[in-house]
Amino acid sequence: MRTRRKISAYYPIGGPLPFDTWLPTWTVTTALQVPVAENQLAEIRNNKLDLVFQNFNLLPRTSAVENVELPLLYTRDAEIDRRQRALFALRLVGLSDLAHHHPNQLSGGQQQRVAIARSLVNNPEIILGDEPTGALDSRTSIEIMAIFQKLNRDSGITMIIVTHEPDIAAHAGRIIRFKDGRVVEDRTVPEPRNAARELAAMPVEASLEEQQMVLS
Amino acid sequence: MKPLLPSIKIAYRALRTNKMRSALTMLGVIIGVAAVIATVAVGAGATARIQQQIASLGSNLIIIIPGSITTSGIRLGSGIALTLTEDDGRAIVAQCPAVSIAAPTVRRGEQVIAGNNNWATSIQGVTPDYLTVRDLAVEHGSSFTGQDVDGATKVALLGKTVTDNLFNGGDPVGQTIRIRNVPFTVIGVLSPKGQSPGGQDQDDVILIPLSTAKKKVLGVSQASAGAVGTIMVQAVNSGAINAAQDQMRALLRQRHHLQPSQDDDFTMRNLEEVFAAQESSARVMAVLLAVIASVSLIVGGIGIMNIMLVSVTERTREIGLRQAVGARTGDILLQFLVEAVAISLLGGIAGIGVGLAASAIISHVAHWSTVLSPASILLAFAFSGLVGIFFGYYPARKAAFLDPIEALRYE
Repeated sequence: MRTRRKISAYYPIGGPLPFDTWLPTWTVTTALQVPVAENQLAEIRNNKLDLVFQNFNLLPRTSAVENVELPLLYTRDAEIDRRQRALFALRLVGLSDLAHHHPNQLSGGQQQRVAIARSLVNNPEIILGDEPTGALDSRTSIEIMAIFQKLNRDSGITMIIVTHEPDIAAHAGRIIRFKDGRVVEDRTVPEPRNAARELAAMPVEASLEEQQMVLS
Repeated sequence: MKPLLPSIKIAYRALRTNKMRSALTMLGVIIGVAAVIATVAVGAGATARIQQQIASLGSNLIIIIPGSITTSGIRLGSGIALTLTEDDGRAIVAQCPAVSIAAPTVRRGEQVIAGNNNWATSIQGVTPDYLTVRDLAVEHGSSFTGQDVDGATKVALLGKTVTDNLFNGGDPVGQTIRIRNVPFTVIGVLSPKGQSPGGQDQDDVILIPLSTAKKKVLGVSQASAGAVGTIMVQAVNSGAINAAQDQMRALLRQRHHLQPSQDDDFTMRNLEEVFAAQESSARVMAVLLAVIASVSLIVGGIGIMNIMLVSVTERTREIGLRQAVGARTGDILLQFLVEAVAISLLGGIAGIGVGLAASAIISHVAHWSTVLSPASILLAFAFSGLVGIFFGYYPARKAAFLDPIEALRYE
């Protein structure tokens, strides 16, 4: 069991590492299965590598902005202004207006955007997406991919996304295909699909807001 | 140091989400703390009452009464023989270093008349020292002096009960009362002392000078002119009571020419010993009650543990998520510990309120005196906090060591 845990996305491995060397170390320690203290793992989960889930995993009865603040509660730095950072992250995903809504007042796409804001509030180097569009319809999925691409382009955050949908995968710059746990294909995509452009080209059946109302 | 504030906020929210459940869990602690406070208050009240009664008799008091004498094989009861004298009293003060005051007294029950009223009460012939020994004060008017005793003046100090019955509560000072047809001028009224530990009314008394009592009221025979009924002795301090008794016993035996084979012809009573025993039994009772009450506090703690275990199970996914966004083992542990302690401390605060109310009701309804000590309240409160930590630790630990993946996937 221990070995499987090591490879899992939830168990990145690392020590008290220089800023730009933690990822190689992670890879090495993972390969060598060096056990690392839980708290060091927690620290990496906190500010190096964040997660976006298929089922969003937002805290119920807790406003969007408080959900986004969650990782900051566990940051060592006591000086940060949590509320301000959380609101900034929500602005990056375009949800400034809904900061004080609770998850049950938000559509699936909006909830996922809150989850993305939560993942990037600590300025991670990598965001891992565990089928982030799995529970969303195709248009909302593309909206989410547009956010991912923007974060990748503007903030330099590496996105690693697990998906079953080739359409979603086509947005990535590199695709590694697994079959039964084995790599069967590893190719770079010279020109990934641009989600923002796709959205613009989509027929405007309804305004974005109205459509979200329908979805929720 | 990790800031506690976020944990407190999370705990507050969690408790508010399940109001009924939180309230019922707190109830266990509330009852426990309230029971501890109320029982300690009742116990302390009983102890204080006994101490107060001892103090009302006079502090460090030893009473010497004449013993039994055997005449021609007939043993008379104690207090019959007139073996104690005023000279004994003077000798005791002069020769026993552990004694500060010795006040010889005589007493007799008499019918007293004042105007149209009459009342049977206890007439005591005393010296001014008696007031010191018994810790008596003159509330109104003046006390008598050594000159009154020397000159056998006909003056009297009245107790509260006597004043009420002879003068219907009016001012008796300066009035005349008659004891055995001898007129006495009332010069003062004594401060009320209340009941003695034996249940006697200590205010139903008239004090007159010792010499006057013997000459005018008791009609003492020539043969035993110096005899007195009782000598009230005050030891220099509470630690000197035993020493004083030993010294007095030796002195009196010598003065009364008793052979080593003979029994004492007097008896000493040291009331503090009697009441110290009462006091310690009251204290044992109080401790016992408090222990039983603490058991209910522990049961309340088990309630907290139970509900925290339920809460951890219910919030497994939340815990998993917190771990996924970087919560350390210690963060989760702290969060659940704070929640448990919040329940127990809130219960503790409410319990203090209920305990205070319960003590007030007990003293009001059952007429038991209760004494609330800040120490006992603080102790109960601190204990409730400890109960929270102790019984919250296991569930919190369980939460903290959940496996993040399993926790996130928990349905």
